[in-house]
Amino acid sequence: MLKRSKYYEKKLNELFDKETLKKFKEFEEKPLPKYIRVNTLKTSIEELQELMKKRVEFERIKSFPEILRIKKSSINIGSSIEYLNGYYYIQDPTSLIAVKQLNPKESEIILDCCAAPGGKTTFMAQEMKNKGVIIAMDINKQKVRSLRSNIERMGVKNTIIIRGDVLKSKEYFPIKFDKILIDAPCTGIGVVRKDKKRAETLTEKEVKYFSEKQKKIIDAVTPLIKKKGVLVYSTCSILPEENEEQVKHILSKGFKLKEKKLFLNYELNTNCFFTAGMIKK
Amino acid sequence: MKWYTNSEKEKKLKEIIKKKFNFDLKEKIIFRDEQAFLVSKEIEEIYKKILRKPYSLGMYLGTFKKEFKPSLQFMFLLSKKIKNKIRVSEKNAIKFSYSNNIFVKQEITGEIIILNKNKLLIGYGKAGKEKRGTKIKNIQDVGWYLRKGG
Repeated sequence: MLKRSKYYEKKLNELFDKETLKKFKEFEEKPLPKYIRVNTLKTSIEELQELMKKRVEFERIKSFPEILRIKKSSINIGSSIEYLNGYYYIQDPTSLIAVKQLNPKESEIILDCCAAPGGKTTFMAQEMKNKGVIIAMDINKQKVRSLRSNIERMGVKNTIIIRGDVLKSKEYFPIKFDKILIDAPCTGIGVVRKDKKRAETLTEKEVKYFSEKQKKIIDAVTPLIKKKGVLVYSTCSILPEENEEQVKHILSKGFKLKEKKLFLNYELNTNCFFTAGMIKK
Repeated sequence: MKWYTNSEKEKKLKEIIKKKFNFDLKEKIIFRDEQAFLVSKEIEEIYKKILRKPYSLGMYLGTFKKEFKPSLQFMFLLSKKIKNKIRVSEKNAIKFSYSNNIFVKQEITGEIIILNKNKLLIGYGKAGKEKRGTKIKNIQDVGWYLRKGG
């Protein structure tokens, strides 16, 4: 049975009614299904299914046309030749929603703030048909290395990778962006199904640390969006301190809320994910 | 690490790629030390404006000092368009993707792209005749993404 820290248990009781909490806890214990996102820059769903049909049994997901769920597999999907050729990316479908909300277009200039390892960056490039420009930024040396590797593997060519501190964005970029994605660093408490230890170690101090960090990132990048530009803020957390409170902070900076949604683990049988789309007035 | 443009070097590299692979590159090439990157006009425009040196940009073509060594990303593109490629057995494909050299029956020489039976990229090697048959020496293979890609 999953162990939860006292603080996490307290937060869950504050957040959900009895019925929701029961369902939520049940799904936290369940193994997470594996999903892949097909890279239409290189192949099609049909071609990939045909190539792998002897080794992997797939299931299509109604609301996510690019996603395939792995039903059965006789191979390691993280090292197949198709994977190494960049035909797919191992990715939870909920994380595509942030990019769908951003709705990146072929002619746009987009900033992806905390981009590594590149799941959302490479999906953005796919949606933009490898046109326009994405600036994908991250601070960590090892993470930037894996971002570059994934960008190359997936055949992405409309990206400038920057290794740098998002808090210095204003110094780096004397330009305005059409759209910005802040996939903020967070407690990761929404991905307990992938990382069971997370539930056991979550503390109030940690939540405070991340919520302050998130605020600083918002302050650093919101001035860089064009008027009527789109900002999408996302986390893999379920906590209001990291989600709704940050959205409130963004709205106080002259943004209008388009839509926000918290996906709980049982809704799509995925990790939890929060995303909010806003427009600069 | 220094980023720079050099029209003479760019011209020379494009000629080498044309000669070696019969492949025309129309977009601009920007260099970072020995690494060459193919960039669109839009990327070039933004690259000129930003005040932080990039880690990489556009499409990584490969390294170019005296010789040109294509990147896996460029090799993938080449594998769809050029003629000097060979399809190998599943056993050889796996062997090659683990950085090993392989032997094939076909009589070939020179640099060649290796594909598996489903025409997926396995890597790039140099073929030469030996007693046992044709040896393809491994130059680069897709297993790199797992070994060193991070």
